[in-house]
Formats: sequence, structure tokens, C-alpha cells
Amino acid sequence: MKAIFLDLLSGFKKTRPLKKLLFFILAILNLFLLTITLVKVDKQILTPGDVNATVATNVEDKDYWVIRIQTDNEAGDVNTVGVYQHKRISYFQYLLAKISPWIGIYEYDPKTDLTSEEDVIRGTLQKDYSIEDALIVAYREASKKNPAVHIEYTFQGLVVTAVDKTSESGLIPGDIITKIDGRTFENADGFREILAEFTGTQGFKLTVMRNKEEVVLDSKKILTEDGYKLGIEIHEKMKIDASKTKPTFEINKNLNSIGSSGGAMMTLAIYNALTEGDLTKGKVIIGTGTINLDGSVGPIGGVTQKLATAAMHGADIFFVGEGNYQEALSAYQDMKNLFKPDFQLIMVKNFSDIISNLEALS
Amino acid sequence: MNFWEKGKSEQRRFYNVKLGSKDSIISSLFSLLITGIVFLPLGLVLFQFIFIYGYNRTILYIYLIFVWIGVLGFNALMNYLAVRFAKAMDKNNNELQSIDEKYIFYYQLFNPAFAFVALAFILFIAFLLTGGFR
Repeated sequence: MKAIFLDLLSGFKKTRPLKKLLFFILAILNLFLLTITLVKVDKQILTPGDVNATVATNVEDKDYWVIRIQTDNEAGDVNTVGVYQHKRISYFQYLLAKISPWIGIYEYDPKTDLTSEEDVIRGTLQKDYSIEDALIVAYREASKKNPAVHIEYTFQGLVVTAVDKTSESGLIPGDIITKIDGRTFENADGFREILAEFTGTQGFKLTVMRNKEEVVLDSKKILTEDGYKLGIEIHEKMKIDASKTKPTFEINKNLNSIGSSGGAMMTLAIYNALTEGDLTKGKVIIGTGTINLDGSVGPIGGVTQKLATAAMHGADIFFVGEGNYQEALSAYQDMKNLFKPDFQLIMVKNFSDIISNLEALS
Repeated sequence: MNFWEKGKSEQRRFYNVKLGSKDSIISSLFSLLITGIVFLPLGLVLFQFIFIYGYNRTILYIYLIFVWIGVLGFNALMNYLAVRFAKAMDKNNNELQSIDEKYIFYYQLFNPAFAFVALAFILFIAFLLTGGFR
């Protein structure tokens, strides 16, 4: 080994000055690259991602699907769109991200923001309730056209999707809150009404389903910028009785996406599969927005990146919720300056808007 | 005889040289280690780049070409250093000392068999990671 080092040293000594200079420049460049790739910055980025098919039926077998409905109708080419998120990126990645107008850069605070692992847990829980909500809204709407379509579901509780690091609720993501102070409630508003009765840091009991077992927790609120809060994110959790739901459906257990932003598009594809004819008229539909049980389309994050993804995947129509429309329109105009996006951007407030826009298609 | 043909012949000569097993192992390991250190920043750059621009298929294809060139460069430098270190460790081996490693570098950089295998491997990995080319 000593011989190797001596050889490298003597070889370097014999090298011409110009080559030595070149060596130093390359060595410094290498050290510079090493430094900027190893140093992390407290930023998170969103990049354009991929589109995913949503619903398969008996007549439409797809490589990828979220829900399979046992009907002989077509679900159409209706797709959800996802983005990629990277947290605590390197300085090199930060510089790269700044080049592209289609990459969103945001601050990331490791002390308060969710970690990547927590984001995956939250996204998985969101995906689960999003599928259930999409099924309920689509079946309910389709039953108005076809009385043979039927769905039965019950309110199960409030699913906890994220917990603030400072929360003293005792809750963890995945818990389903069924009672507060021994009292039941019928929806999120009912829960909030009871919660409001407890002032300051007054303690109370929360009954939750955790890993299929009932657990009672001692909880209290924490003081935040918006007053005393539980410091949790919740969503109404419904339980669908699959045996009483017609036509039957199957949910794919091996999904490669998380989050609830595909809710509106899943609802559309399910509805299309449950009703006669193809509402999409063979067009490539991509869109983003959550679906709420009242049929309203909720806001989502990363709409600029989702629009860029839709442009790259040949969308004909891009549906976006009212809450994201201005941002989407701005990105759409920027896109027009760079290249002609070959799709129509349509704002929708609720699921009925999606149907009426598609019905109006020639 | 051009650089490439000369390199091929020098590479063959190196394969035929009788090296002690200790010298052979140490020169191979050190060549791998030093090449790894030299290419580490470039490897990190390429690895981190794809997380940012992997969504763009056109950039992805250009990226794969850069990865391919990087692999060829890695192989060339590793083979060059292996000969150089072997020569440093066995100074009395005249046959070994007469090999010009510079030509081996050029030969390995443009070695079609290795280039083909490396490209096929890279495309296979990319295919698995992206779920197919569109």
C-alpha cells in the first residue's frame, strides 16, 4: 500500500505544471460538488409527478386501477394526478429546483412540520377515506339516474390523520374518535360543538378505536395562535356495507399513490361506470381536488405541478376546484407562454359541475 | 495502430502478466477505492438530479446517457489505476513495467462489449424503476 501512495506522489511530482493546475481545479470542483450535495437545507419541494388511472370495470381492464366496479359500462379515461415531494433537500437540489418554474419550493421546519414518514401515514389515511367518500358520492348521484344503484354506509367516527408535535390529546394518526366525554356525535361539527364546551386546558376523555380496540384517552387542548386547540387533523370516517351495495366493487390493496386529491376524479370515474354511456366521450380527463360528502370539491396542494404533469400526459380536460382555480389559471397562462397546452382548464365547485361540464361536451 | 487497438493489446498483455495474488487483490481494491472517491461527487450529483427532474421523460433519457458515460469513465479509470498500482507494487516485473496504462484507459473508455452490457443494465434498471418507457 505504501508503494501505491509513493507511486501516486512521485507521479504527481513529475507531472507538468499545467496538468497540476488542472488536477487542482478538478479536485476543488469535486470538493465543491461533494459539499453542495451533502449539505442539507430546510426546504421542501414539489415536482410534477405522474397520472394514474382510477376505475376499471368488466369491459375495461386496466394495468392500474384504484376501484373495480362490477358493471358492463365504461369508466372512461379519467385520471388522478400526483406530485413528488422531497423534504430537507440538498443545496444542489435546491439550486436545481430554482431553475424550473414547474417545481415548487417551500420552507420546511423539522421542529413543527411533518416528517416524510408522518406524511406517508397521513397520505395513506387520506387515500382510504377519499376512496370511501368518492364511492358514497358517486353511488348516491348515480342512484338518481339508475335506482338499481345502491350504497349503504354508516358514520364510524372521526379518523385522525395527523397530530401536531405539541398536541396533548394523546391521539395518534389512525385513531378513530367515537366519543368525547362519553358522548357520541354524528359528524365533525357535532364533535366540535362538544369540544367547544371545554375551555382552556380543561381535561376531558376521548374514546377511540385504536387497532380495532376501544381505548379511552385523557386529553386536553393546547394554546395555539388560533386559541386553544386539540392540535389534530380529522376527517369523517364512513363504513360502507359492501354486502348491501349494488353493483359490487373491489378496492385495490396495492395502490402506489397517497393523499386525497384524487377524490373528485375517482368520483367521476365511479359515476361514469355506474351510469349508461360514456360521459367523457373518449376524452382524456385529468383533474385534482378532494371530494366531500356533500359533493363539494375541496382544495389541494401543488396545483402548478399537477397542471404541468397533465400537460405532459396529454390531457384533453383538466378539472380543478374553485379554491385552486386562480393558481391553476396563473400556471396555465405561464404555460401558454412557453408552449401551447393542449387541454381545457375547467373550474368546478362541486361534483354536479363536473357532470354538467362533461354533458355539455359535443 | 490506433489508441484503441494499442489499448486492447496492452490490456491483453496485462491479463497475461503473472501477478502475486496479494498484489493483484490490493491493486484491484485500491483502484476501486480511489475511482470511487473520484466519482463520488459525480455519483451524488446524478443520484440527486433524478429526484428533481425525473418527472420529465426527455430529461430522463438524456440523464441515462450521462449515467452510461459515467459508468464507462468509471470503468476506464479503474482499469487504468489497477495497472498503475500493480506496476507500483511489482517494480521488478519487466513485462508489467512495459505496459502503458494510458492506452488501457482509452480502450476501456470505448470498450464496446462493456458499453453494451452497461447500457443494457442501465436500461433494465430504469425500466424497473419507471415501470416502462413511454
